[in-house]
Amino acid sequence: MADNEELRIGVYVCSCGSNIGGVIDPAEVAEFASHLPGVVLAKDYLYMCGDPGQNMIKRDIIEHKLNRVVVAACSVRMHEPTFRACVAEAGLNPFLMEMANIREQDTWVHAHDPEGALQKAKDLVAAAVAKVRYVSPLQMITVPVTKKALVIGGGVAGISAALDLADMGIHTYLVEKDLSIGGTMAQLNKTFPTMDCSI
Amino acid sequence: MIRSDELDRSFVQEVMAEPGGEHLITCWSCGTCAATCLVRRFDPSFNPRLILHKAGLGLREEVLSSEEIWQCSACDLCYPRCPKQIHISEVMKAIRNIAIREGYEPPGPFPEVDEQICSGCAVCTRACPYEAIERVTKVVDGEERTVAQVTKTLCMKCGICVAACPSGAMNLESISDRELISRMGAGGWLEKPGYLQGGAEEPRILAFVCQWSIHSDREWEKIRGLESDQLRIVNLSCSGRVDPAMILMALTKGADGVLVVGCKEGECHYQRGTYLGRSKVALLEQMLEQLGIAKSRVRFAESGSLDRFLFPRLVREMVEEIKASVPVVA
Amino acid sequence: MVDAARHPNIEILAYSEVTKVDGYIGNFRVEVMKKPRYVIEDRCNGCGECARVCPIEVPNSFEMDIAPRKAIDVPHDQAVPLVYAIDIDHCIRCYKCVEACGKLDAIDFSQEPEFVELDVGSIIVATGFETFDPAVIPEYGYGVYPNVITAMELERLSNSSGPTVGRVVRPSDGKTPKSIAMIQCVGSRDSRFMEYCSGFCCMYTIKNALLLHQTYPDMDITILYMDIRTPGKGYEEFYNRARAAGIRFIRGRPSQITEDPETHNLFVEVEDQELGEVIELEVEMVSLSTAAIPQADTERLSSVLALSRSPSGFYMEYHPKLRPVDSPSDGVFLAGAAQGPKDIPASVAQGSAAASRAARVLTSDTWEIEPIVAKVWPELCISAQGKKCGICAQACPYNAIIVEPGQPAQIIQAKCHGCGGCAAECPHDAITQDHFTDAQIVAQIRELLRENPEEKILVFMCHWCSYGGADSAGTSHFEYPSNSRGIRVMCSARMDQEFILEAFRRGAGMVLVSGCHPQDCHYITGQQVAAKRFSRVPRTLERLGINPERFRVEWISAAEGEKYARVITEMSEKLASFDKEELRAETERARPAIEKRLRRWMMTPHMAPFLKDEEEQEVEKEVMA
Repeated sequence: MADNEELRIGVYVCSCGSNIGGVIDPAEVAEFASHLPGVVLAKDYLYMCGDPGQNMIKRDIIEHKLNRVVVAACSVRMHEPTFRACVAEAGLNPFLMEMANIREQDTWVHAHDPEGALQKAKDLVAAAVAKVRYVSPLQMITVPVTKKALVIGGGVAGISAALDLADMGIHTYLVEKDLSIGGTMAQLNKTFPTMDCSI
Repeated sequence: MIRSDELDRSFVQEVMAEPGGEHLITCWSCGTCAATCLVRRFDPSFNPRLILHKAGLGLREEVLSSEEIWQCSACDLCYPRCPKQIHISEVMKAIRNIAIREGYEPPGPFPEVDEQICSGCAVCTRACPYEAIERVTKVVDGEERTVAQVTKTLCMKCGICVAACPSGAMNLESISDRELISRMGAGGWLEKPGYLQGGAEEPRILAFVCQWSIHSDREWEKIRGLESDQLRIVNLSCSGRVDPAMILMALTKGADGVLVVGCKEGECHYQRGTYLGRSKVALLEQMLEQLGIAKSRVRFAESGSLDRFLFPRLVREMVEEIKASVPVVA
Repeated sequence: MVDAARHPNIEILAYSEVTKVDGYIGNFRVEVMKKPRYVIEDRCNGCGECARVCPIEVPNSFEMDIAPRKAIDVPHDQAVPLVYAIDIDHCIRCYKCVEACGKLDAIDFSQEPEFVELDVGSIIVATGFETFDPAVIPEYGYGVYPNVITAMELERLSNSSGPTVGRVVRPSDGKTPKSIAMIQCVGSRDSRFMEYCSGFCCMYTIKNALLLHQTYPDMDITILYMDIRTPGKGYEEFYNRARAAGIRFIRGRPSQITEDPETHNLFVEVEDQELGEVIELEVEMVSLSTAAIPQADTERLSSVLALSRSPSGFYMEYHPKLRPVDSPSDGVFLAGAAQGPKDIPASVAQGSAAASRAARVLTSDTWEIEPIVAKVWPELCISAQGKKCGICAQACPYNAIIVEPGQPAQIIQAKCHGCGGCAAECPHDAITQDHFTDAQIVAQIRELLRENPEEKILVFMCHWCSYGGADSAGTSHFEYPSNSRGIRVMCSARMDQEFILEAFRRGAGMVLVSGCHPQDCHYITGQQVAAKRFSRVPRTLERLGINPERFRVEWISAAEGEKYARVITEMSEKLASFDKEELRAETERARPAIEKRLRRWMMTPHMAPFLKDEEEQEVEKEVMA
């Protein structure tokens, strides 16, 4: 458990319109979460990623002195950056926020088993709450950036990318496996829909 | 006009629940099967794509009562070409199974068994590619006997049984022995002396051509145009229908050579017909040697779906070979 | 093309291949192999004297092999860079070119592959596509009938800079055909080959038809199609132009092409779907609109760059709608047909989009990356006690761990990519991974298996692939039984055997460990480290008296949603076949032995409570009894 600190966890269950709310009742998940150890408040909302949802989380962090946040919504591949930024704006280290995926990996794949989906959502939220009990604040690692680009492939897409980067003043390497750049486009006679020349 | 309440979704489920029918609704009607299908050459009303499409729409009665569903012989020429890999003949079979349960029957005529002659030897049972002939014990003329019986829902009317029967007990109206012999000899063609008998300038060829082995109407027309005093063409329902006795008869009369053309192995319209036809000709060739008749006077050839204008070449080759290898007797 | 060559900020490395990529966003080190041209680039002035004297002709792949080029040549007159190259496999070393080159002295037979290293902050993958080889469709006769050609060959024939100077002729007799049929969807929309629609073939076929019509107004042109797809701006209007010009359109997929052996004319058989009748079309030439398929080296490059591929084989984007030009690897972007078949307007747009995404990074002085790195508990590391170990360093794909005798293992943060393999491999639990610590993972195991554990499947997923696969099952709404519970880690390498044992100790009905396919691993060899470890698990379970069928390993890519759903369904079916009482009994029997194996947790920070709380419950039960 985190050292010498009383845990104050806030849990936010997203309905995602009917994507989650159409299969399970987010309020029931929130009610379940409110009884988990360390949880000081648990709420559900129609769209947690929208401004009102995010503002609610930010307000709660300040008003209720939350030091951990769990968002039960979609995949981390979707909105982890959103909610990390959201808690950071309220002064919380972004790594003290954890998501439970109750959309892609729950309601979207168990639409015909609402009871099973609800139980799974509760379990996933409980697991996320358990995880945040053990997380610690982390600082992003800052790395330098080499201001050069590599474009692999000298066809029409690669040339277009290379020209744009080069125009922005970025030194760009254009690597082409064949003897000449141009790719398939260079082989074409006139191109549609304008019937102009390809090269 | 079709009303929406005629579109029966449960029929789609019914077909798909039947073994082989699983892929019914993956068909998107590209028409590859229809353009491949050989049945269409003889019956333009037959269209496998349309049958699948109608079944997929749920036109239950129209599909089950149609005569077309019985016509697919499962030659499976379309299956390897289908871009959705639908085993169309299996879907047809699934639909037929439902039709059979509902009491529908395919239209005739079917091969008829002359029960007084049939010895129950089971040669036809083994020859039939569709397992459509079984042996039954029944009372014939007051006597209990085992005879062949045709299952109508399985028979594809290829005529292989007719040719296979050693006692002449099987008969199929359209392709009876009498019918074939009369076509061979029409206009006294067989009675004219052949080249080997010194009676003609060029060898005279009798060709038995499986009706499915020539894949285009345009080509049929062209081939029909080749018929002359030198060349007689007799259609067969299947090269497996060929009868060695008829070949022998032709060779002893005015035909210098007999050419049998069947589908390419693997493309046979009746699955095993090419195999049976080729085997019969091979056996006959052995017999010919014993009879002192040159082997080159008989040939079995295959014509595939992608072969075009192969037939004239086959005839030409045979003529050349006979001229080169068989001495003229007279 | 010429703009790119002239631009002072663009450095073209033609005839070169990327062979190795190290590093991370903002800091990639790329190894490029420059293939030998046997011509010194700086000296060649593109005069072409060498090609004029070269006696050897070879097929020119730029001309789809329908025209030759010399063994020393450029693929075409407008080549960029305009530098000649020798096809060394065909060169007979007559040295006539050396003579012709004279004072320029640009020819150098001693050239070897040259490796250069580039430091870049971002990478854009724009490797394009190839076309499907229709020879594998026997019924279309490509490669058998001379007058059946591909649309790409037709492009070259009709191109005024092509081998026939724009005269479209039949390969069989060199005459311009009076009629031509163009067949759509050859290899595409065909579950025997490519399931997908190549997208742009309808448009280029219509374009070819219109061009032929303009050049040869009397030519009889027929397009045979299943559906005409013209969703782009101005495309439908273009299609209407072709209709108005009298191009014949027949809806139907041809079943076969046969050839008249004398005239070499072709007979195309097709069912006209509108008529429901079969048409036998005699034409003098056939052009096949072949599918766009992934480049042959897509697989090689995907492992060099740790990119995933979609089921179609093209590179997979991070998110199909929201991040369409991002790859799953930070700092690597996708553009053009490498990501999926695309026409020129879409390819150009994606090139610009990828450039803009890359510029976000390249115009910044610094970039922030996630601090998910490994961490050593120095007091637990036996190397600090002077013993020999180094297992962690062996497991690390990045050489980010230094182990010196007498010193605890040391992690170089900048080199660590955060796969967590070392943390799982350390036999003394002396390494953990920030944000994916043992305690965080074990706490999740405990929660997920708190109720009815024997009815549940516990799934360990890697962030990049199998978690993505589970997401993709979700976006496709592939339903599967609801009794699985997932725990996400960054890489399958992080999935410690202790976690698997803990799951069984908690009574899990089944355990699935899942990660990337070996070639897709985001941490070079992380998956291999994991696979080796998992291969030992069944025997361990057997020794513990746990049915090894309760454990499964599956490699599932981010594109394989269907596979994820199938694996969970299969496991769920298997779990249903087990007797639950027996499962519980198995757990009880194995518990003491597992706890013995986990006893090290008593000393690991934060871990003791996980073992103890079970013990306390046991004590409580005894007291109650």
